[in-house]
Parts: sequence; structure tokens; C-alpha cells
Amino acid sequence: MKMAYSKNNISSSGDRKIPVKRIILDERYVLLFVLVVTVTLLSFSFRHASFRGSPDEHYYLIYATYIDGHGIGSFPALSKEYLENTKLWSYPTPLRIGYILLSAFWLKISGPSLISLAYLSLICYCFFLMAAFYFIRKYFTGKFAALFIILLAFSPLDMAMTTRALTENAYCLFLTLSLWLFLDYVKENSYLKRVLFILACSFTILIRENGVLLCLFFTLFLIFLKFIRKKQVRIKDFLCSSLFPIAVVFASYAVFLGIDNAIKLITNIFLYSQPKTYAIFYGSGPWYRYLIDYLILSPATTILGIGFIVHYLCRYREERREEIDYLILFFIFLLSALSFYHKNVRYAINLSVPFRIFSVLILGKISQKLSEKRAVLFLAGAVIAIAIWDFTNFSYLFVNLGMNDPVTFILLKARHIIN
Amino acid sequence: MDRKYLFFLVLAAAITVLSFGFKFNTHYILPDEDYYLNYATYINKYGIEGFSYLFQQYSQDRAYSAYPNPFRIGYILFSASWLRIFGYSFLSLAYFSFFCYCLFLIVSFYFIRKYFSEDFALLAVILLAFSPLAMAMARRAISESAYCLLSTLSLWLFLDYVREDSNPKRIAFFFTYSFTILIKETAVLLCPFFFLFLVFRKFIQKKQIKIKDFLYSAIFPLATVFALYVILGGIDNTIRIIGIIINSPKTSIYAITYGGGPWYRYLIDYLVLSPATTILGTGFIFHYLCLHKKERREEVDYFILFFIYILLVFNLFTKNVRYVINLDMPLRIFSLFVLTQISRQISKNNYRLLLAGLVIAIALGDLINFNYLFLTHEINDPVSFALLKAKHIIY
Repeated sequence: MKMAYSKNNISSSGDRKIPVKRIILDERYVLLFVLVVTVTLLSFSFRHASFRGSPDEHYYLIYATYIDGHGIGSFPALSKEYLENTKLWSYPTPLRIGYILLSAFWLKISGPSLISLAYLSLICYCFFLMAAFYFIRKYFTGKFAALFIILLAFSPLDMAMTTRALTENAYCLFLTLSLWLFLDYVKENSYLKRVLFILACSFTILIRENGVLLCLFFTLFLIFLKFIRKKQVRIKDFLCSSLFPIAVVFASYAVFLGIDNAIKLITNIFLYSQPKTYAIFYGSGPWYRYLIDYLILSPATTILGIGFIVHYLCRYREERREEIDYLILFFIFLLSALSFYHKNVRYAINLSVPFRIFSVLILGKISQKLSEKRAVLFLAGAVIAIAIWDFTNFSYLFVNLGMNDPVTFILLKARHIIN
Repeated sequence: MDRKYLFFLVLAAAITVLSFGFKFNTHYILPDEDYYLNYATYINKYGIEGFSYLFQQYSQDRAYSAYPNPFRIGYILFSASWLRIFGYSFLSLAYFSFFCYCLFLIVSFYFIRKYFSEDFALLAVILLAFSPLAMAMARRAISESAYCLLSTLSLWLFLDYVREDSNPKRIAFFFTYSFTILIKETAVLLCPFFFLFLVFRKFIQKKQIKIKDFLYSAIFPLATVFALYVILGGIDNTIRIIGIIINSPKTSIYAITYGGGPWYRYLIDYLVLSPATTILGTGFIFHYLCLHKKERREEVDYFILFFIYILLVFNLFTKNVRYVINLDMPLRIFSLFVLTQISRQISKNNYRLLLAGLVIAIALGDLINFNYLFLTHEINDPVSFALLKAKHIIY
């Protein structure tokens, strides 16, 4: 069977190996280079970032400062205050223990300020790039990972979030870790990977409670493996993918917040949390609203990504590969699941990774018809051109126009699609 | 059942559905509709000599510059004849659009059946018949449906004559294309496309192209149309009107307010109008680029080039998804290719049934969208602002 995307015979792209090595000595240098370049560029943009701070950013700062000042034992008091003041219910909940602890620890080192919290986002972004690079290199090839990381590093949305004091980058880092560790443990059936996955997944939910949706996705993927791909899936896999991480999260809630507070906070999310007027005005629309947002943020990767999904579905029987099935299912799941909530492209920040993997894959497939030398030039040229385009988009939207929250209305207005 | 009967069934269904939509038609009249009715009424009263006055009036009165120009001789003549038979009203002019929409479906069925297969044509026509944009334009008294019909006919006839190298086809194309420009002057932008396709055929596909092909595809239709403008309106007025058309995007407040944005604005509009076909259609282009040479087809190359060309060229002007209504057909043909492939992947034995089911589901989705956007929300001009607002993407 032709395995166009198989690890052994694919380079960054398609069926045959492309001697990228002649041009790129070691892909790890590419990662290092990309990290240095993006961090340098981002630190310039920090000068332009206006740290007025959204209400959410202020709340994160208050929570972190409070925990930093009063210690871990003060989580119950924080929860009580939140539960007693109904005005706070529209803002981030203290259930985000993971992020609050992480930011409290960070503020202890760097001092309590919004810019300091934004630097935490930048650090998470760097780790996110490293984690994504590690796993992509493992599941595809080093050359593929090098091209992919160039695209990912210049993703306008990810770059923009590094200049904010929000949870997005931390959430993105841990969700990416959970996503790949789950695949690792399903494929390798290793005890260590299973434990690492449970910890990563639990921490993702502790960073942001909507990470719990991941458990549903993992369960669905196991069902897909069992019934569509006819693979052996055990009961304990189902337990590890959903019940264990949720149990760890509940245990953490009980320990840090107290059982009563935890139950009240969870009930509060489902029953009483009122959507903000802001969310009603800027967060509605159909499922494809995320595609519109991504199209404005990064037109090339969005169109190429959609192109790859369509191509893969048309050639599924001949060219299927489990990692790609997994990423496509994740993509579709996230688009569907997030369409039930208030919409903001920030919440779908994790689509950046599949979009960029798919983009490199489709560019690779297109380049297959060229000679080896031309294919390398085409791929490298296309990836660098897209990265530059994405960077100019970031620069225009988030630095020049000073956009804080990338809601569709503001994105459309910035691009003069509406006036 | 014979596919031709099924086709007429689809046509009947589309007509029935649309005729329900007509009762909502008279709430709001676009200024363009008013102008078309006035032009047609005037020509009916004063005959073809009346064009001289229309040209003069348009070229001298600045107030007219934001509205349809009298270069649209073809549409004005067509609508004048139609109004003479069916009476002078907006509704009557809207029925003319409706008539063009039905002819567009028949033409599409004929050519798609010729180039692909009867089954494929039938399914393509189901998708085309329920296109929200085509349906919406079929109930307005504006030139879009007539333009869509004639530009589609020109596109297919060009392919016909280039492939078959037949003189009658060449002449048929020449007349049709010239008339398309007379329906809406933006059709002139198809000239460079035809020219580029001939260059593509000669240098990429290494096929024989004669000098007369280049002449028929670009020079002759343009020369004929220009000569007609000069005969009917005079050289001075013609040149002045060309200047007004070129400058109108900069001067029209409506165009400035609602017609800006980048090239992918059309994709956003199409996504709102018909998400499934837009995603499948756009994705197909990349799938096709991945195919080996022997899997490719000239007709598909042609429509992919057309799709990319239109997106790029119409990026230079005021943007309104109405102006790129002829992207609907390639998008829907591409979608059908993808759906066929996916159905075959899922079930080799029952793929026809699955494919029919998927096509009907998409057509229903499109019909619901049409109903929501154009009947419930009464959108008259499908500018991005109105489409996004109706879908609550903006408030």
C-alpha cells in the first residue's frame, strides 16, 4: 500500500525523501534560530503593547498576587469571596488553580505587574514551540518539524497572546502536551506515558476548565480506534483518557479549594454564570466563525489547511495515517464543540497547530511533482513567505492597530471588510 | 428514471421554492433596480435612438455615477422587451432575472453533461439550483442573473471552441461574449482570462493555438462592443463614461463603506452564504494540485484558473459577492468532485446513494440559508456587513 505520509519515506512533505540536509544542517538549529528571532521580535512588540489590561487580565493579576501574598492555603478564602460577589461571576473563576499557581510562582520571581504576567505567556509560548517541535519531529521527520516550527512560531494569534496577561499560552502549551502524550501512550502503551498524559491533561483542565472537553475528544478517538480502525482498546484506556484526569482535577479542587467551594464554583459555571454583555455582542455566530477569524489572521495557512483536509478525505483509503486521522478528528471536534459556547478565536488557539501541520503537508504534496532541488526550494520558499506574511499580519493587527482581543468584529474592521 | 426528467424535476422544485420567495420581494427597492426600470422604460418609449440621450445624461450628470451605466445596452434591451410583454414594474423585471436563472440551470446542465456525465450534471444542477446567491439574485430587478447566464455560456462556449476548433462555435462564442459585455461591462475582465488560458494551453499544455484564437478571445469582442458604444452614444460620451466607471469606486460612498477589504473577502462571503460548498470547493483546488498529470482534466484546469483569476482580478475593484456570482458554478462543480471521492472512499458499492444523500443535504442547507438570509432577514444587497450581521457574527 502506498503510504504517502509514513514516517520512513516522507520528508517534510510527501512520498520521497528530500535532501533538505544539504541546506539545513540540523533541524534543532532551526528551532533555536526561530526561538531567538521570534523572542527578539516579540520583545520589540512588548514596547508597543498597551498594558491597560482587560478585566480578565486584572483578575488574574489579583488572584496571583493574593495567592503569592497569602500562600496556597488562601484558595478557599479566594473562592468564598468570588462566590459571595455576584459581580465577579462574569470573570475568570478561581477553579483555574493551575494558572493561578503558575502565575503566583512567576510573580514571586518577577514582581507583580501585568507585563510580568505577559512575560509568563511568552515563556509558555517558547515551551509550546519546543514541545510542538519535539513531537512533530518524533511523528513526522526532523525536516518536516523544521518547516512546521517556522510556520507555528509566526502564527499571528500565538504571537499576539504572548503579549497579554491571559491563560491562552499556558493553556496552549499544556493542551499540546496532553494531545501528543495521549497519542504517545495509545501507540506505545507505556505506563510512564500514561502517567505523564494524566498529569498533563489534569493540569490543562486546572489551567482552564474548558480543557475538560479534551476528555470527551480522547474518548471519541478511542471509540474511533476500536470501531473504525478495529484496534484493540482496553477499558483502562477509556479510564485513563477521561475518568482519571477528571478525578485528579476534582481531588485538586478538594485539596486547594475545599469540597464545598469546589461544588459551588462548578455549579456556578453551569447555572449562574451570566454571559458578559461583551460576550453577547462579540461572541456569537455559527461554527464557521472560527474559520473566518483564522482566514483574517492567517489566510495562507487556513486555506492550505482546509485544502489538506479535503485532499486527505479524498485519498483517505490510500494514504491514511493514524497521526493525521487524530489531528483531523481533533480539528473537527474542536470546531464542533466550541460552536456551543461564546466564540472568540482565542478559545480555538489550539487549531493553530493542526492548521500548520496540514499546510506543510499539502505544500509537500504539491512539491512532489517538482525535481528534488526545486521541491526543496519551493517548500522552504513557500514556508518562509507564509511566515513573513503571518508576521506582517501580526504586526499590522496587534502592534500597529494595538488590537487587544481578536474578536471577529475588530478583525473585520481592521481589514476594512466592514466599516 | 431518465436523468433529463429528473433535471426538470429539480428545475420545477427550484421554481416552486423561489416563487414563494417572490411575495417578499417588494419591501425595499435598490436604487440600481430603479435605474434599470427607468432605462428600460425610456428605451421602450424612444427606441434604440434613446441610448444617445442616456449616454449623454450619464456622462454629464455626476449624480448618476454611483448607479448602473447605460453601457449595459444588452441588459437594457432585454429588459425593455421583457417589460413590453409583461408590464412595467419592478416585479416584472425581477421575473426576468428569474427567467435567466432558469436558463442558467438549463445551460449548466447541458454543458456539464457534455463535459462530465449525465449523473454528475444532475447533481451539479441540484447544487446550483439551491445556491443562496443565485436564488437571491433571481428575485431582484438587477442584471446579475442575466450576467451569470451569459458569462457562464461564454465560458463554456470558449472551452468548446478551443477544444473542438470549430468555426461555428468560435462565432457563437464571439457573439455570446460580446453580448455578456453588453449586459455588464465588468465582463470585459474575462478577456485577459481567455487570453491567459490560451497562453496556458500553448506553453504549459503544449497545444496548438492559432492567432485567430487570440483575436476571437479578446480583440474582436472588445472591438465590436466599443464600436456599438460609439455608434449609439458617440465617442466623447463613451470615453467619459469609461472614465466615470474607472473612478466610481473612489467616489461612491456606498462602495467605500461596504465594498472594501482584501481578496479573501469573497471567500468569507461565500462561506456565510454556503459554508459546505465553499470549504469543499476551495479544498478541491489543493487536492487537484496534488494529482498526477494523467489524473488531470482540461475542463478542471480551466475552471481552477478561472476561479483564481476572478478572485485576484476582482480584488482590484469594489467588492460585493454579487460581482463574482459566476464563482458559484466552479465552486459547486469542485464540491461535487470532492463529494464523489469521499462517497467512494466510504462505500464503494453504494456510493451513488450516499452521494445523492450528501448533495441533497447540502442543497437543503443552502435553501435554509437562502430563506434565513434573504427572506427572513430581507437582505437585498449581499454585502459582507449585511451577511455577517444576519448571522450574528457582528452586531
